[in-house]
Amino acid sequence: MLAPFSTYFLSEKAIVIQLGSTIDDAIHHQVINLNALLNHEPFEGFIETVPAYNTITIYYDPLPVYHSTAMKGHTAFEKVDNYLQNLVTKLPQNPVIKIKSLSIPVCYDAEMAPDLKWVAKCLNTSIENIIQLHTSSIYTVYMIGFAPGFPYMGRLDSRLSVPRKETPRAKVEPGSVGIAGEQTGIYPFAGPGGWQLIGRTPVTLFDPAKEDPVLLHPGDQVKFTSISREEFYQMQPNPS
Amino acid sequence: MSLRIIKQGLLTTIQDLGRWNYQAIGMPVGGAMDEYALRVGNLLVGNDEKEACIEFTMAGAQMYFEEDAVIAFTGAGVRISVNEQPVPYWRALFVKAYRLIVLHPDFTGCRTYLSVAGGFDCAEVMHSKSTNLQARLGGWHGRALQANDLISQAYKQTPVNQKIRSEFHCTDDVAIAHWSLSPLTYEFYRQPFIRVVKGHEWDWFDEYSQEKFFNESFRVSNQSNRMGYRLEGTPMNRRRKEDLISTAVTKGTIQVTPDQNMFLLMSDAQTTGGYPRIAQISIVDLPLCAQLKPGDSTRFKEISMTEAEQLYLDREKELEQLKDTIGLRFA
Repeated sequence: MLAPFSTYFLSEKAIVIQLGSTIDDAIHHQVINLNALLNHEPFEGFIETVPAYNTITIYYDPLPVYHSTAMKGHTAFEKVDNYLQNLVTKLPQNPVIKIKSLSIPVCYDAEMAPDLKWVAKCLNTSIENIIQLHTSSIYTVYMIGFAPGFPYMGRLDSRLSVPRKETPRAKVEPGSVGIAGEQTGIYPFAGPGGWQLIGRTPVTLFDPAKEDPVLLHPGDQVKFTSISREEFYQMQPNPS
Repeated sequence: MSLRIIKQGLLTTIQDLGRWNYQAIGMPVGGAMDEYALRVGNLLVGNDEKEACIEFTMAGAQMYFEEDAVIAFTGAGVRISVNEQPVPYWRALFVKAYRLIVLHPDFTGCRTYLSVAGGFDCAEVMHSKSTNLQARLGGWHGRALQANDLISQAYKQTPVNQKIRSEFHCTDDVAIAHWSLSPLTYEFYRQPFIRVVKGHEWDWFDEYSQEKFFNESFRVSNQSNRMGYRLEGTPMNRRRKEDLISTAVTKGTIQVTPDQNMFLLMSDAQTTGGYPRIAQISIVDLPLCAQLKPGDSTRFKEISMTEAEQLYLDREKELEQLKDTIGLRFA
């Protein structure tokens, strides 16, 4: 069943459609389906969508929308809103969409995991147990945000739930794998970051030269596999 | 044909109207802080309005062209001289090669755009020439311009570029076009308030904060850059304390951070955010925000989302008319 939905104004160029009011895998699945449907059936003036946990933001050019005769309404906002209300009713109950599954190698060696020891102490468990828990779940990419290519993934096993760092680290190495609350993520490139770092992947998450610059997209399913330091350095394309 | 940077100034980057269609993968749109100034600057020299320009932040930059060039300066915040001769904003100019162009402080704004006939020759990355400093891509090698950089201009000149150039008879260091825009084109920058639409989480704030939001002025703090401005003033106190599930934010969104401060998102803002959105700046008043510098104060005035959309459509119509007028004049 479709979660209760509503729409609201973000800006003159953007409308948000919200499904339900919680972080929920079933709702997120509907977000991904509706996002695919929208991109498959764009309206005149459509620019792009930003799917998140329980919202999709639709960016549009108000000028062609306003002048469109195909869409009903007095303003561009009303026209897009009507279009969305109608589209939602077309959302298939059990849509067949391709779900991409990826396996991402992560090195959990102390050298690559500056916060692993602290996390183990905080959770009163062993480092081995943390690696075991982190690599045993399949995570959904809920959204990409914070930085180009940064995936917000969940759900993390609640036994791994730790708070963010009180003061963000000034420099996080590219490929660093972090955890915070019930989420896990990967920093695509060097920069500041507040998540607890428990490993690092040699895989490139963001490459602007590629036609599709990112490895992960909202809706993808991700599993982590543990690799050694030696394997990490063998796989790393640009050793730092 | 090239532009030589002598002094880079505070922050000088190549920008266009931004990198659209990549927000779903977390790529900020970026682009000119003052898109209106960039668009008008391009029209003045006969370019497509979307062409990349150089964005200067306040004063300090010095440069010269290595060949004669048709250029324009738009925006605000500096006095401009060419070989010590003052030249105005919002006019097409013809500058001779090797004449020193200097941006002197005048504190009336924050960002100046330099457009050049034909545009600057730098590669598009992800379909835009805008510099993204965080991801170090686009513009000039993904970084701010520095002293000694030599920025190539594009050689291709449209008929309008050529016609605008042909009307200059320059014997001096610099010539100012004998035609000009209606002052109405840029007088709106003097408007003493900024129009906003209430944000989706407006009701999350208590009445006192809501009242202060529209009746007090807020100051742009020193912690302000192309990503956004921290606003100083009465703290915005929440009556609803729950967490917001992260969702899209956009240029002009005013978020309230846990310390009750307001943060106004600008061009390089991230694509999603998890703080309540108290208000959204109307697009037509974003150029005014782009021209605010640290220490400046402003007030907010409420309009409805329908009014905001109408203002946007009216502004676009004015720009379309300006484009047609210049197109016809130099056809």
